[in-house]
Order: sequence, then structure tokens, then C-alpha cells
Amino acid sequence: MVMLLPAMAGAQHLLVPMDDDQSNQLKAYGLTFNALRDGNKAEWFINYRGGAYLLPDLPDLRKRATLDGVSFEALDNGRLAIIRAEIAAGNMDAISLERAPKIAIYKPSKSPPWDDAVTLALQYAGIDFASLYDEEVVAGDLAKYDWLHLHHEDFTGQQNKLYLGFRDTPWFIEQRDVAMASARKLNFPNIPAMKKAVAEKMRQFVERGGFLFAMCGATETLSLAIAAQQVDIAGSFADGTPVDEAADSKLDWDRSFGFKDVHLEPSPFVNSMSDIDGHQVNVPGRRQPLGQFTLFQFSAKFDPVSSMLVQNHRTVIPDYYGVTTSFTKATIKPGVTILAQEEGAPWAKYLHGDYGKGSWTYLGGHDPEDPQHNIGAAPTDLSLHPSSPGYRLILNNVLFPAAKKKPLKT
Amino acid sequence: MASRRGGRGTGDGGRAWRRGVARLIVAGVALVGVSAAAGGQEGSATKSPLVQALDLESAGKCREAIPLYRQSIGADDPVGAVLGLERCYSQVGGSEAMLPLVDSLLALKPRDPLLRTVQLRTLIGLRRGTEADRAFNQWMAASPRDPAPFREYARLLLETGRAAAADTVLRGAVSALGRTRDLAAEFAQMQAALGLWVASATSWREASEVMPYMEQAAVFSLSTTPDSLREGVREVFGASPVALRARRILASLETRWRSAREGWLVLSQVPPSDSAVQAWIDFGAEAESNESWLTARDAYVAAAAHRPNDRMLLVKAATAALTGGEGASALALLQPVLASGDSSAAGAVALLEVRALAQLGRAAEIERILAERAGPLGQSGIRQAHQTLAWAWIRSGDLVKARAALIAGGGGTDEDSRVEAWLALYEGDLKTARAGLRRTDETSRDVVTAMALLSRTRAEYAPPVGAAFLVLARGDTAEAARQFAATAETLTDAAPFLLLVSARLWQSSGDTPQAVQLWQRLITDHSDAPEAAEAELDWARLLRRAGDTAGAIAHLEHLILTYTQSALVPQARRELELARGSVPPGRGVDE
Repeated sequence: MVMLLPAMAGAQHLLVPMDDDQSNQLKAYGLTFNALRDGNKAEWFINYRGGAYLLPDLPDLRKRATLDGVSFEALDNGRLAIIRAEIAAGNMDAISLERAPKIAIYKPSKSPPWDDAVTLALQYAGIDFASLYDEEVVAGDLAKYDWLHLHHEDFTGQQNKLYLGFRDTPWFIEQRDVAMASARKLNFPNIPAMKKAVAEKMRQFVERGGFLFAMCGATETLSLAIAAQQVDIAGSFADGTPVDEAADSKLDWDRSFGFKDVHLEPSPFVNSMSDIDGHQVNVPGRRQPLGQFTLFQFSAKFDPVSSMLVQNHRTVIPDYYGVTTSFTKATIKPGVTILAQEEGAPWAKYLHGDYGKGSWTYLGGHDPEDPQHNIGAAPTDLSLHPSSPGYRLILNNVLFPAAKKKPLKT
Repeated sequence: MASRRGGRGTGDGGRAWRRGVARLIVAGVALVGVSAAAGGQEGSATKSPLVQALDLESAGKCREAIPLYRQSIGADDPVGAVLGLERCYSQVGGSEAMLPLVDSLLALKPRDPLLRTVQLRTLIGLRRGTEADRAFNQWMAASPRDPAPFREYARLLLETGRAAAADTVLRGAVSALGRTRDLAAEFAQMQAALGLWVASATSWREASEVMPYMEQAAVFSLSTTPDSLREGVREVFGASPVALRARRILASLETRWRSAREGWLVLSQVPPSDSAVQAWIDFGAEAESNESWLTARDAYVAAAAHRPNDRMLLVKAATAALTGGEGASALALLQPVLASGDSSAAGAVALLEVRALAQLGRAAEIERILAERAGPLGQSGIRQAHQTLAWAWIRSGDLVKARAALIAGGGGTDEDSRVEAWLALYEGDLKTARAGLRRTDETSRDVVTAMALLSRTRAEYAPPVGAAFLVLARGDTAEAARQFAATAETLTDAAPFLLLVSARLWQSSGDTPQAVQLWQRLITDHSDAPEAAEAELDWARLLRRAGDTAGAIAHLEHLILTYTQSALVPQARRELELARGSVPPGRGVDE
């Protein structure tokens, strides 16, 4: 339902609520992002009505909101002043949003358009993005973007160890052949060597000030690949040589994101990369059942970044599997911010950290609205989940780089 | 427990344990004696303990049944007693007590598959995984080269959702026995549970060759195969050599996945044989239950060709054809039955013939049947035939003869009233039609259109509207479209509705320019009417189907922005998403 308050002919602002009064939370992100893209200013009211947005009252924005079914309320300056006073008095804050970030998604050119949750979310919200893959990354194209997303890519070059189960399937063979062709073209001896180089470029992207958001298996394997620049962690089926027997001790976690003291899974027959993932969904006997995770509440005024990343109209969200579903707490570096975790479980779901001049955010799992996601399953239709709290976490990440930097972060 | 099991079957410990079990059984007998004496149940003395136990269990008295079952254990055939005890102990929460009993019996019959299965089932039910593994290993040791331990344990694990554990057990079977057909069904279930759909299909095909009763299990298991992997499953079941059971499974799957027509294509390729013909007949019934009438007709016709003496197959085929709207086909199928002079179903056949003729508007021939061959129809059949005749006259445009047919049939039934209400509508008597049709529970498109019109206008008499409905009933869609649009000029309070009906009729007759003209008129001249939003949505759908996405988007956006209070806005937003490509295709309306 779109709410158009009457008697507001003189309104100067549009308030886009993000609590249960909002009929389409996901499209509201797109409305705000595109307002910024078109040169408008916006504000993010952290912890106010589920993380509401303040936009200028423009006919075009009203039109877009109506078309997308995004609820909004017209505000005059008097009403806005009351809201600002309320925000100033509580654990809330108003963050200026200045510029729509340039977004890139790392994915092969032939991948199905509905294959990862971020692509789904951006397409549904109407947020433009570019796609790039190994050749572009190695060529240095990451410098053109502010925000990079990775999904279930295996940066160890072992194709998620699906070789045993799917080696004869056409899609797997094609994927492997394409990756090998790229590796040869870029003068790498094999796929693991190429993926390591790609991972290193991504590390440099963050170090120089980029925002990186990863989900599913990309979280774990990107960190592994960066830590393993000088170690062979790929099985012989991937690069012709066995995993270095002392790989665990040779991993350099100082240069990587998020983790420490990780134990690699050396067996090519076990569909797991390491003990980073708490759920081990593809390993019979180790697989843990799904629970629900809880978002932490942060101080909006003193920790605005973490607060922005957890804006939601729900604080408890049902969990969902992915190649990497969660992050074992014992492997998380000190100093990493845990944004969400399952109460009583030895794993976290949602992490954030600074690195160099940039930052990274990891969200476990594949698709917040498809908890069991199997290969070949039908894609998620987000028009059936316009208020998905799990997808909101993804879209928080898209808008947070738009925020004007504040020196207050703890 | 551990020490007891450790001594089982060996030396004095084993013998002592068996003596203990014997004492338990004796104690059970004593309890029964007390119970029988106390209850004084008449006739129980003549019934065996097992029958008494079954009676008590059926009466929900599991606690009383248990001692009697225990008493029956010593009988020649202890199977019923063991299974009864398993059920009753489970009911009263005492499954633990099964374990020592089964252990004692296994000491005597270590290879008995039933006892072994009960033991495994009990242990799994009690969540004693380690002990279940141990019991499975003992069974394997007792019955080397026997697939039963692997099959039963894997099946039990699958039933509790432990597909990965079942996988381990079945891989063990392959190592120990080599791949065996006896385990194909368990492999198939395990593979389906793990999402290995094509491998599961291969195993199901193999299983169906030795276990025909597994067909339904295969269909159930594979019906949830994701769209993108169904082609692989099709290849497995469709592969040479053509096998009836594999084709039956695939036909059922295709019926669920796509349509009964696709299913029939798969099954019709099986070379004819007694079994194949029976499979076609069964498939015809399945297609009927899916309301795939013409597919059902084809299956029955194919079966009838190989069973020429079974004329009921042709009657079934004709019935399906008629229900599917193929009156001419139904008549053709009935001809051999009529020619045979078979009187066993003469009444049903005559009524079918009447209905088929009515569908074709051949009222004069129905009158001839009623005059010459009404006898087998009976009183009720004659009444039905006259009602059908009235509809046939309506389709011929002769309302006077239609009324006469109703009168000749005797009238007075609900169906007569319904036909009379339609006759009133066709004559333009909207007041009578409104009263008559209000009582109908019919939901056909024609009734919905008629009721919508009657609720939109206050007019009581409008012959041109009736004439338009009559033309529509006669099947002349284009002329009906023209007349509905013309009546909009005179019946002004229902003008937007009549224009929309006209536009839809033009569209269904393929004349989209006429439809577009009317939609434009609705949007321009009747923008306050609810039909304006409907016209916009219909127009957008037409453009999208024609590949004009930009045009469709423009209309959908106009609808959403202009008719903000319309109930069609959510639907328009949904179709706007699909047109923009911002949600995956394939699930939307109008896809």
C-alpha cells in the first residue's frame, strides 16, 4: 500500500519508513539509491522506524515510489524538526547519503542472471551494476568501482570441490573449461594460480579504500586464497600437486580478512574447505541444523557503520545454508565486528572489518529466502518476498558506502 | 545392557540370559491368567492369546495386549506377536523393553530378517545410533552376501531423514556385494534425498524392473526434481529399450510436470501387449482425474483398438471427448457401439449421443432420437434429454422451440429453472434473468459475464443485450463482439462493462485492432469506471505477448499511477516486474 498523506501540498520531504508500515522494503533501497544516482541528497535515519530514509519531495521520486509500491509519507519542515529531535534524544542518528557508489559484481559472463542473492536483490531493487570476472580483475578494472560483491566463487581454484559429484555434468565441464581457458590466456599454469592472483587484486582493492561484500563460499575461499599466497592448498585434481602437508602452519593470516588459526580440509573427497564454516552443509556427519540468527544492536551515534549494516525491521532472522553458511568463532580474528550470530552456537553469521583504507563484510549462506538451496533449484522470486529481512542485510551493504564519512566510529 | 549383550549366545552367560527371557515369558502367562480371570471375558478361552492380544490392541488396550503378545512368542509363528509387541510398546512408550526380547530371539534365529529389522527400527526410534550401527554390523556378520541388512538399515535411515548415513551404508553394500539390483530402490531414495536426481532416476528404473510395486514410490520420489534437471530424468526413463514400467513412471511424471498430453506421448510409444493396453486404460483414468479429457479419449481409443469386444472403452472415450468439447468426435466413437446393437448400455449411449448432438447444435436429430429411441432413456433420461434439446435449440437461435422442449420434458426441476433464466436473458428480460441466475451455483465464464452485467445495470428489459448473449451462445464471437459494443450506446449505465466484454471477444477472435480501439475508448471516455484499469491491463498483456515490452511497461505504469485505488494495481506491479525483467521469468501470471 502506498501512503500519500493528504494536506501536504507544501511538503518538502518524503519519509520512506522501513518498519512494518513499509510495503516494499527492498524497492525502498532502490528508490534511495537511484535518488542519489540522479544527484539528490538523502539521509538515513539509523534505528528510526527500521532505518527510514529521508528524500526530497520531488514529483519523479513520488512517481517511482508509486510505481514500485514503496510507501512514503510527505513531511514539512515542522514535522521533520520533531523527528530530528526524537532522533537526537535516542539511540538513533541521521546519516547523510551523498553519492551512489559504483557497483561491480564478480561473476562469469555466462552465469545465470538469477544465480546469486545480490544480483537478485539489485535487479529487483532496480540498482544498476556492472559485471566483471577474472580477466577484468587481473587487468586492474576494480579501480573503477567503489563496491565489489562476490558470491559462491571458490578462490582456492577447486571449484568448490564439486569435482567428485558433478565431474560428468555438462555445466561443470563447461565451467572448468572456461576457467582453464582464462588461466592459459592470463599466463597462469592452472586455475588455483589464477584465482590466487585474482584474490590478491581484491585484497589490494580493499587496502586502497574499496568496499567488499561477500556471501556464501566466497567469504571463506577468498580469505583462504589471500592467506595462501605462498602455500599450495589446492588438491591434485585441481592443480596436479597435492596439498602442502604443512599448509595450516604456513597460511599467512596477517594479510588476509577476518580469520586466524584455520585448519584446512585436505581431503579432496570431503566437500569442505576448512573449519571456518560452522555448518559444513555438504559433509555428511558434520552438517549442523539451521537455527536462527540475531542481529546485534550498536550505538548509532558512536558506531554508525555497524549500525547501518544491521538496519532491519526484524532482529531475529531464520538461517539459511550456503557452501559456507556461518563462521566458527574460534577462527575469527580479534577486532572483527560480529554483526549477527546464533545464540548459544559456536558460530557467527555476519562479520565486518576494516582493512587498509577500505572495509569488508561477510554474510554466510547462499540465499536468505531459500534456506536449503540445491543446485538446479528454481530461482527466488523477490516479488514474493518484498520485505525479506535477510535481503535487507545485503542492501544495507549497498547503501552504506554512500554515507558521508564521520570521524566518530569507535 | 552392555555386559548382557556381551555374553549373549556364548557359554553360560548366553544360557543364563535365555533362561531370564523364559522367565519373563512365564511371568507374562501368569499375568494373562490373572487378567482373564478378573475380566471374565466371554469366549476368550476359545481364542488364541495372539487373537486376544490383537483384539485388545484394536480396542486401544495396548498395556493389556502386551502380556498376551509375549505369551504368543513361543508359538510356531512368532512374527505377529513380535510386530504386535513392537507396536504396543511403542504406543505405551516402552520400546526399550523390545530390545532384550529381540536379543533373546535373535540368539535362536540370528539370521531372521524380521527380528533384525525390528531390532534396528527400535534402536533408531530410541536414537541409539551407535548401538544401531553395531546391530547392523552383527546382522552383516550373521548373513554375509545378503543384501537385506544393507537394504533395511538404509531404508530406516532414509525414513528418519538421514540420507548421508544411508549413503554410507549403501556404499558399503557396493563394496561388500558389488552393485546389486536388490538395493536399487534404496539407492534411488537416497540419491533423491541428496538431490542427485538423474542418478536417482537410473536407480528407480533399475528398481522398477524387479519391483513393479515401486512405480508409485518412484513417481513420488522424483516428482520434485528441479525444472533444470528434468531433462536428464526424461532421458533415463525414455532410453532404449522401451520398457513399460519405465514409461509408466515417466508418463506420470510428465503429467505432473507438464501435462497429461506429454505423459500420453511417452506411454503411447510402448508396443501393444495386454499389460500395455491395461496401462493405457489406467492412464486414461488418470488423465480424466486431471480433467485432461481429450488425452483420456486418446488413451481409451488406443486401448479399444486392441480390445474390440470391450465396447465400454469406446463409451468412455466418447464421454471424455464430449466433456472435452469434441461433440463430433464423441458421435464418431459411438457409431460402432450403436451399430453393434448392444443393449447393455443403450440408455447411457443414447444420452451421450443427445448431448453430443446438442453440443453441435443439431436439435432436429435429437428430436428424432426422442421420437424413435426414447425407450432405453427412462423417465429421468427423457427429462435430461429434453433439457439438452432446449440448449440445442438455443444454439440454433430458436428460443420458442427451446421453451417447447422444456415443457415437453415436464419442467419443474432446478435445471429447468436455470435454462428458463437463460432464456429470459436471451429474450432481454433482465429482471427475470436476474432472479433466476442468482440461484445458480454455476461458475462458467458465461454465467460470470451475465451476472456481472445484471449487477451493473438497473434496466429490467433490454432485448439488444439479450440478442448479443444469444449470438455468443450460438458461437458467433465476432458478431457478439459487435452487438455488445452496439448495446453500450443504449444501456449507458453498463456501457464500460459492455465495451470491455466486446474488446475481450474481439481479442479472442483474433481481431486485436478492434480490441485496441475499444480499450482506448474505455481509457479516454470512461476513465472513472473500473473497466478502464482492466482495459489498460489487457492492453499491456497483449503488447507484452507481442514482444512490445516498452509499450506494455508504459500501460502498466499508467495504470499504477492513474488508478491508484484499483484492485488491479498489485497485479499490474507484478506484471511490471516481469516486463522489466527484475524478477525471474516463469512464475508470473500470463507467462
